[in-house]
Amino acid sequence: MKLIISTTLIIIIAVLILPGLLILGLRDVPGKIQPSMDGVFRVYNNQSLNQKIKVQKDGLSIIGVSIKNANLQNKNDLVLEVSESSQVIRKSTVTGYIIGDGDFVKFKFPPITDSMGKEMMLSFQSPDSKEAEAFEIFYTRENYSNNTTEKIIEGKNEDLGQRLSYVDFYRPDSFIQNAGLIYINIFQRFIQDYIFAGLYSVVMLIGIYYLAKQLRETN
Amino acid sequence: MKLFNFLTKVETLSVKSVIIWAILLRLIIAPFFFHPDIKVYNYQSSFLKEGVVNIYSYLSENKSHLPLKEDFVYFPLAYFFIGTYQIIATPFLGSDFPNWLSDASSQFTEKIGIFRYLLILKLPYLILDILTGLGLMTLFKNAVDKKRVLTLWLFNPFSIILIYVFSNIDIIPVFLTVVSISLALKDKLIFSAVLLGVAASFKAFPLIYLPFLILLGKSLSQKALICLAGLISFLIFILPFLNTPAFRESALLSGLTTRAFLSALNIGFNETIIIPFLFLGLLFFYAVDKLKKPLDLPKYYLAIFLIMFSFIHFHIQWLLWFIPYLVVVLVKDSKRQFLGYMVLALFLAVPFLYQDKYMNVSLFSIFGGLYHSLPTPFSVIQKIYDPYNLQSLIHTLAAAGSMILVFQVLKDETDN
Repeated sequence: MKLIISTTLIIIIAVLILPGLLILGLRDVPGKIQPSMDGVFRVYNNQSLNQKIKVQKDGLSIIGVSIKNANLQNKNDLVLEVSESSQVIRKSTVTGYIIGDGDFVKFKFPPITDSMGKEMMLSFQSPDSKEAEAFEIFYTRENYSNNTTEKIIEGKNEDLGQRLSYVDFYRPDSFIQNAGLIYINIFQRFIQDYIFAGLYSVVMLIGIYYLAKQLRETN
Repeated sequence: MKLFNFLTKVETLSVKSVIIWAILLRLIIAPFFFHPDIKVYNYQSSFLKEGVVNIYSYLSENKSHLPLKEDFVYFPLAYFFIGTYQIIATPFLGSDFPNWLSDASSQFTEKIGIFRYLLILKLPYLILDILTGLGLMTLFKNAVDKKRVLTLWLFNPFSIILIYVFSNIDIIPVFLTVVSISLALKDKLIFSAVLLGVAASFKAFPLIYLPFLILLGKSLSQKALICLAGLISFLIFILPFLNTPAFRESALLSGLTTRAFLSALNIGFNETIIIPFLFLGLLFFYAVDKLKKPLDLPKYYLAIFLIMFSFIHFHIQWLLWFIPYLVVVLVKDSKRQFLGYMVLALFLAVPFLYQDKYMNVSLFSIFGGLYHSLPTPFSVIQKIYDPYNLQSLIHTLAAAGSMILVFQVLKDETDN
């Protein structure tokens, strides 16, 4: 019956093909899920937020952070400078007009093609903002990175004991390769629970074998 | 020729083979789609094994130090059912399951074992899903129709998506209402009413069926008994919790119970005509007028929710409530199939356009966290058109299609 076949195809497409197809629509791929947001760091005037990071992949292109802009009152620019060895290599500016209170804001810049493994400094500044209208950028207490490079520092390398709650995005060389990595990743995670994966596979194979036998025997 | 032969062979498959094929499809989809509801209500139900009976007051009193802070929005039987199942399934879920349940970080979809958890947590729904199909078969006498209704129920993609992707508990009361109808057809009206009451102790919607079931009573005393049986079997499970403010706020006054009142016409002096109930009233009094012959309950049950959803903002999983009866009607009258599927697809499209990632892209988050970064259909459409306008338009079309379907179905009642 057409319904059985078409529904079977829909399920197979939904599980096996659609995830890969959807990823092809993603221009910049996040490096991780945003960590929890446990507090805010205020950025205004000469109070900047400086976060050391270790870049995970090549093609760093966006830094996304969550920002509070109380009553949407701050219309000034918020600037992100990305530095390597004290040299500013990328700069991105977002106007306060489009920063809503609690929004996830992406600071976009041309991809840094050979960024993998490098230590960089993210510096958020808003020199035109007054203290009363400061942008508040969320930090996390979640230990999302084992390396101690990831920390907010102030002034002369003073470690404030917090980490920025940010998401790093990367521009992949090949979107098709990206889609392929999705399937490899899920397969690897699936077989890590090897008892379940084994039982699941056995049940599926028995079921498919039974159905195939029934179809063969049916006149 | 080979394809034709294959299709012919599929058509002649036995009921057992159809069920096995259906199970395999469900096993393919269940471990790979995640909606946060399944984690939240399973986390809440996990307190049953610690001896918590009143989950509503427990969550209210302890919210500040719990990792997940949502209220339990279902009725009490849902808590006991899910909690009991978890206790039974504990050996298969593994020792890390409680940690996964209480994990409020953003990384829980990356945990080893999540495929196992999702499949095992959805297993009761798989069993009830199959049993619902078997229950629908009892509504037909003809072997061909029996197989048709089973196939249509098990292989319509809509109910598969609603049960295994959105993974809510609705299949439990849906199954009970199907059994209730089956008992009603066998003239076991009191038992039928009891089952409706029990079903309502999971989610309130089956109570809407009770007035129509009462109409099947042959005498006034039987009608009264049916009413009492349904209400008592519901109240038995609800009464112990009625004094709990958290129960009243989070379960009793949530969802359908309040949204139905939002669609109303103001007639002045603080009075409104509540549109869904206007049409439900029309349906009920039409059914009263039809007391010359037995009511075809599946048609009325279908009509009830086609009407309700036409006029309220609904959750996607609620659509499961009427799909069994749509399937029954489509088997009885196959020329309505196109209209039936169109209406269902339109209803499904409305929540798909909600500004909620877990209505679409984030359902794939098992495959990787980067699916959260995909734009939703809402935000894509927003670049060119007002998505709320589009939702409203689709909802209106679904309502129009529903009205036609209800009219056609009830017209068949008159013609027969």
